[in-house]
Amino acid sequence: MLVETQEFLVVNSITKRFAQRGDAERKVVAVDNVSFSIPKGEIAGLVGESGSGKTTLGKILVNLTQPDSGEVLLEGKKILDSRKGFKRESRRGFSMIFQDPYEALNPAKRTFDTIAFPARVNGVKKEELRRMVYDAMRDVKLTPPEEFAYKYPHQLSGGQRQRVAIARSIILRPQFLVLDEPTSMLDASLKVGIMNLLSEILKRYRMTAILITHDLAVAARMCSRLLVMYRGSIVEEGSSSDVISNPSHPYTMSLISAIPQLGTELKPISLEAGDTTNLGEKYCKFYPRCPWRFERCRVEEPANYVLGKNHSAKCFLYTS
Amino acid sequence: MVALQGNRKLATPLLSVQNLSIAYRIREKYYEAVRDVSFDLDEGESVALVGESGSGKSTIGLSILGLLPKNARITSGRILFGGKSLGDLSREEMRTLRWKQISMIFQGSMNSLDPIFKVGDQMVELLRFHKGMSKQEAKTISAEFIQSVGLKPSALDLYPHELSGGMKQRVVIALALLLNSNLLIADEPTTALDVTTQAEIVALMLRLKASHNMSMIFITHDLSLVPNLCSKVVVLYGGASMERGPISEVFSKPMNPYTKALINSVLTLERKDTMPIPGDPPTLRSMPNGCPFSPRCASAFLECESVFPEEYNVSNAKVRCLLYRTKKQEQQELERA
Repeated sequence: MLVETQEFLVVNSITKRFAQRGDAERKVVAVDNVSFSIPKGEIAGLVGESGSGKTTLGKILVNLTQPDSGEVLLEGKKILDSRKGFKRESRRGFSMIFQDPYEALNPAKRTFDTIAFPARVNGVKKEELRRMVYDAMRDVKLTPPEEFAYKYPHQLSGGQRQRVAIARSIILRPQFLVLDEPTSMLDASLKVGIMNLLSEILKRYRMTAILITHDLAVAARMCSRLLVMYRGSIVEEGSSSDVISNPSHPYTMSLISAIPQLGTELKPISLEAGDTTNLGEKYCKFYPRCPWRFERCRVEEPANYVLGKNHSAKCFLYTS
Repeated sequence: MVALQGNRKLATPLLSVQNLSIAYRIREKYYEAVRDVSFDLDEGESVALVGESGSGKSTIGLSILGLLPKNARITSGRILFGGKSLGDLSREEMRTLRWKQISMIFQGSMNSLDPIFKVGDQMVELLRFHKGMSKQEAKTISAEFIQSVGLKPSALDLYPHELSGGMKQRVVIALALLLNSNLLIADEPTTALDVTTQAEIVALMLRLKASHNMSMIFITHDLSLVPNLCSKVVVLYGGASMERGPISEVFSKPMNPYTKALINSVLTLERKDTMPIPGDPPTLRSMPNGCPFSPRCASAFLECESVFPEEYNVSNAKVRCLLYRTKKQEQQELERA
């Protein structure tokens, strides 16, 4: 894929393999040669089922896991190289919000100390620290800050906990945020509130972000661009509206059909169980489950076929 | 089933929860987690208990199975199963009723499988204990059930950690169905699963419900799945049933401001006007005096802060909201007070 200079974050050919338990020789490819880019101030949605490698990719982007190969560029400057690792001075500009607000907070720490931690590590003290923590708390609408600052996680509701986690991630005003399923553990009634809050904060501080989720409805609402991931590869990519209104990869179609809609009956596209025997040396990863597969998919890996402006899918259905 | 005998067919529902209130004891004080909840369930029928965390929905599920924690007690009302009050049963009677007649898929059931036993052994144990089957017989039946939930019989030889989330959930469903119970209580059966697996599990539950003619209580915070699975709904908030009735009515014409807000908060692909409910749900210890929703309600008036509303009939639904009280009802309530 072309490296465009105006892109804010560019991810180039990232690959990560994990050794299988008990068998170091057989590797599982969690992230398979993934490339994409995000313009400044935009939110890209990384969508896929559990085990598709989306969280591994997110962790690589915030230096919690090292890739086997590939590189990441921030505003044209290389910040991550599989051989040299992550540039330490760039790390401060990156942050992550985790899935489960019940597990992401230290139960023995008060709200103030939880949120203050990243700033303390970076040497901020006393009055300045208090000001930064209270500002972050106002940003996430934990107001008045005095009321929440000295509470422990068990004294907070699920939604409030997620607000604390968000405040902690934004206190240093990172340029780039990885949001890993920030709403999936929350009550449906609170989901939209947290989503709106995140959108608002990202917009206010012109942060760029990647949202990892298995819920296309969440991604479609928050993101300008969607990356659909299956077994470590990005199988479809495009603007949210294109991908939602014109899903092209069979996997994207099945994902969309599985989303419950109020008032209409759920009619998911039924996927095959996944017979992985008799595959060729190279093949489409979705072949075993695809309802529209044909012989070519078994023996050849599809390239990225362009469907429109910034819309592409890895599927032989779209060969011209 | 009593419900099917003679002319009483229509008169006796399979399950009847009547004015149920349940309180938890916390530091020597009782806090009501369920307040005056009633609903009926006929054979083959499904009802959804919908609400946010802390609305009392899981507590109701546990009380039907007689599995309330030690610090909880039923303070008023009763639960009738096949016309018999569950409160009158001895522990032994309750134990045989459990799983044979009423089974449950627990919340977070993905973690409710015993990690040191193979899936097959857990199923065989259940059959031998409750039905006194021989090992061989139990194995055959287990293989049959594991296939009915879409798994290969070879899954019986696996340990829970070797299964994916969706597979574990299928095993848990197979376990819940194993004894052919009349009533299945499913507490958030798809919450931890991703959408594709969720859709498969919902399809599976629908198929099994039809083939077993099972009644089901579906407990969830996610409204969007409810119309697919149930014909009736009870909307719970702060332990009280805010609105209940046929799905078609409650979803298309919600009455209670809470039901309206809840439906408006559901996120779907097409909707652009989704609105979160401002504020947080009450906790046991911070329960408002009057209507539990009054602090977050846009239509609340002064009286809502002090009066816990009764259920009022509005066409086929029952709505717990003072907006639907008639002048006459107001008068009657005043006289009683």
